[in-house]
Amino acid sequence: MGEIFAKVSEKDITRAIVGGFIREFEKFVESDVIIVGGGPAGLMAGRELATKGKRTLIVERNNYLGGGFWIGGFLMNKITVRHPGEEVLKELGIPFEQAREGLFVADGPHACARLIASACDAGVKILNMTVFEDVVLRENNRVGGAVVNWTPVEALPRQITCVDPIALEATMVVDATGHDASVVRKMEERGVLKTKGFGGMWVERSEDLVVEYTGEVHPGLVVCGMATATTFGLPRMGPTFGAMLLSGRRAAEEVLKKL
Amino acid sequence: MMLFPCLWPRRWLFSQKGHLRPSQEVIREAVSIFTSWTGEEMREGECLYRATPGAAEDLAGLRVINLDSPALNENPFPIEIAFERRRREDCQCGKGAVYAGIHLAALLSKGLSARRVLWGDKPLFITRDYIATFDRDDLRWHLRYGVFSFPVLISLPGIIEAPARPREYYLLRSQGIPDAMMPDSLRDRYLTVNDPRLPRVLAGILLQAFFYYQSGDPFCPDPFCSLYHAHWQEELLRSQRDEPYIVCLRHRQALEKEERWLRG
Ligand SMILES: [Zn+2]
Repeated sequence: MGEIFAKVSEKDITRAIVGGFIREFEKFVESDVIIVGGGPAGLMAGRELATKGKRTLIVERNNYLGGGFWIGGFLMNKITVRHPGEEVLKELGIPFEQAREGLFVADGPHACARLIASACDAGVKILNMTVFEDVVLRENNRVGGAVVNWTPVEALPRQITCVDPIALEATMVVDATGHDASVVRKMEERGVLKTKGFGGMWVERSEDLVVEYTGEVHPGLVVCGMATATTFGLPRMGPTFGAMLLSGRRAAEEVLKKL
Repeated sequence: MMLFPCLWPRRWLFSQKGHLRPSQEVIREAVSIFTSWTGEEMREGECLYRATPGAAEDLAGLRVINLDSPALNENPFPIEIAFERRRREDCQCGKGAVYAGIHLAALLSKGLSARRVLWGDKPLFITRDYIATFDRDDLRWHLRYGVFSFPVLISLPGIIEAPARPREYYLLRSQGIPDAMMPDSLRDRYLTVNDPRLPRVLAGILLQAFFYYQSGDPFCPDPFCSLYHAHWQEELLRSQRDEPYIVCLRHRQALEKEERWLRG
């Protein structure tokens, strides 16, 4: 009886991995857009940009993509979106039900998997286990890329791992890092930008604001998703995936205006 | 009184859980209850945001950004100003931003003078935005349903969200129970969006504005009087009912002295 799998040696496997990675990585050293953060907002922005033929790279510090989109509220694996968020679900082929007028519910894992697949299908490339360290600044402090490193390097004590990061260039950078707003905060550290902090009070109705304030906060830097709330000190809100998806889409529109 | 409702029907980006009852309908109903009590004539003006010169720049700066600091949004990003400009064009308030109430009244009073509204006109601005005032006692911003100044500001979402809900509500919420899953017996004890009690409650707040303009004092210590200054939803619902009376004896007499009568 013949063997099931074709015969390959260990070195062939290693060559396939290294070669595949290098070929691709080389191409994405210079992109149209780097999106920092692979949660729902970042994935959505990436999908839209790649669909328009833009060279789009998502940098994600975890090994998994999707952020909180897998789980939803109360660890119940259900995500809810308010109208018109369900239109995006429909576009992505995510099955959903109407819970009541204007409110829709979908399975977290199904929704998240579809969103990731849709971004990949569109041509987005993903560097996971990669952490954003700093911004690349050009003349007049215009943002022109991101300095990144492997996530595990960050986890080890400095004296053990003197692993310098590398710089990736891009025409536009999108901060989709959630509440951390890591890119915007880094700009703040450098004294280029000032965030408003995340001190607003809790109000029922702040999803619209996240979408409305999505946009370019500094030349070359677009902020979207929950990072918008941190940047502008917006009121707090509960889990709000509709706003993340629509904010991601708005971010893509803003980026396209600049490319 | 002159009513400036900034809420012509626009589709919100995200519909509030369930179908939204048009705010105008609520206001119209409240106004008719209020005039049946007072006989006060109500004229309607168009959006004050639009009448106010430089409103977009100023409004962006009046956003409350830190719950624990009286500092406002001193250096708004261009995006924030652009957002306020869009709102101004569309007359589209109610996106969820929280504005400093007293500063907002001062800003809108510029719009009033542009409209040649005089002190005698008793202007009333009803908004779908949130308004808050900074409390010097606990050094925090608090959402308000109304700010009694010139003009008087009334926040529609503030009526639902500013007075605190019952303690049980927050207990359940902290355990991760979403609003939609709260027990009905609890939900009866606070206002929600589309609540049928909302027009009656708003009518009572209009009455507070009325007394503010008549006497300088919008409030009454009687917990059953519609002029009661409620800090809890349960207090609000207890005071904004027709039983045991609409207003206390003292305020009833004040109305009668002016030959206004409660026909509610
Ligand atoms: Zn009274």
